[in-house]
Amino acid sequence: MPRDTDVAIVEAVLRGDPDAFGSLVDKYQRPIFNLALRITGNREDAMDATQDAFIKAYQNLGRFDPSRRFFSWFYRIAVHEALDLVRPRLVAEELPAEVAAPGPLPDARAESRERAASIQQALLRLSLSHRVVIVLRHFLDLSYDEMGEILELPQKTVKSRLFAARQQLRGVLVELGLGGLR
Amino acid sequence: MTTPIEELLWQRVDGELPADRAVELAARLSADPEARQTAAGVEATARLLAGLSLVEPPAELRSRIDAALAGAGRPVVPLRRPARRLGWWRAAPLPSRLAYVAAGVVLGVAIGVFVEIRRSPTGEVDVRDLTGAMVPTKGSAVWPLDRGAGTLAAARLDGLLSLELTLTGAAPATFSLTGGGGLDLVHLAAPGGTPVAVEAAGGALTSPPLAAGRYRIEVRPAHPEAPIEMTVESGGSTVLRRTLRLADLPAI
Repeated sequence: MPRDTDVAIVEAVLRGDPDAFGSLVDKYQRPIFNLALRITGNREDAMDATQDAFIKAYQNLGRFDPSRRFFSWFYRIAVHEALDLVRPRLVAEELPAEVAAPGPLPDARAESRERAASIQQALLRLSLSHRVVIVLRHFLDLSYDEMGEILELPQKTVKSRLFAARQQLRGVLVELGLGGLR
Repeated sequence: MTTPIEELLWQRVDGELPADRAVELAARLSADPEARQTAAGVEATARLLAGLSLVEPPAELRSRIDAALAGAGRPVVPLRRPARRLGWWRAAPLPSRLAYVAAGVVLGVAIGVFVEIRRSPTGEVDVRDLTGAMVPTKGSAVWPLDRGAGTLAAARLDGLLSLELTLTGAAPATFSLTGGGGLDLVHLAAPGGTPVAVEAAGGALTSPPLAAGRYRIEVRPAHPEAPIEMTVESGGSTVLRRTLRLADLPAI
């Protein structure tokens, strides 16, 4: 992820050009929405978390340390916003099928849509800390190093948490009938 | 200790398997049919996850964000010190300057006493800020350290005691934990996730002197019901001593 561009935009906003922030919204709304969606499992909550993450980032841009990577600071805010929404609920909601694979799909893709919905179901059965690492790795395609920066964890802990999360995920996937994995 | 083959396989999928471990993995796979079966399972799960694509956000999200930003006020910009103007000071006669100094000292002492009186040793504060903290969010227990040395926040995370120690004082601080029927340290991480070595002796875990910054600590107590004593010392005195039980903490 290009770092200099983001930092230059942040500096422009802080110099008094609030419109510059729009390009950060363009760039990050999709990954942030997906991050929130996979953590909360609920489209409305994901929209709220995304919106709140952008507002908090905007209001606190002056506290961003430009020697760090902007996206890790921002993803961290978004992870918090999503977790804060989902924590009060003890029971995870299932993600509607249209969220897992939205819009009309040709028949040939029905199977992959079902599979996507099952994976999301499995994700929602993971503990929150496991869910977060799976989302960061598999949906946002982040490296161990980037995940460590976002979660403020040593790489070693990221690796072991991700390993435990994947084991838990595999178990749930098998339970859900996505077998042949063992 | 041998790394579980599944962990090596996932590191390979992630493109994060070091070269020396890749050689080890190849040897284990060629020698062990069960390992090859595990590899097939990991690859199948990886394919399943890789087949998922990002969902397009709803069209109205952008307009919601724009509307919220419009009412959000301007970002807080770091303050810059104005140029110092000392002309009035230089122009003042010596007795006046002494009077200003004396008044300043009296005022400073009065403020210090007032702050000390008002500080509640049990008051909860929300230290969450946007540099991000996994622990001190809603429902976590947060305690201020004495002498304005920082805060300590605690929560329960997957059976672990998850702590965030924020040190703001000039003097280094040491942090120690004992009890819990035995404590297994998962990690102590400095800002940015750098691991910090911790001394384990006599059932207690003790950090080295820590400079100002935010530290994350995760430990696994042998018995969640057993009390755990946490102590923070700084500048030769104890700035926090608190006992808690993991079972009493909110889960996150």
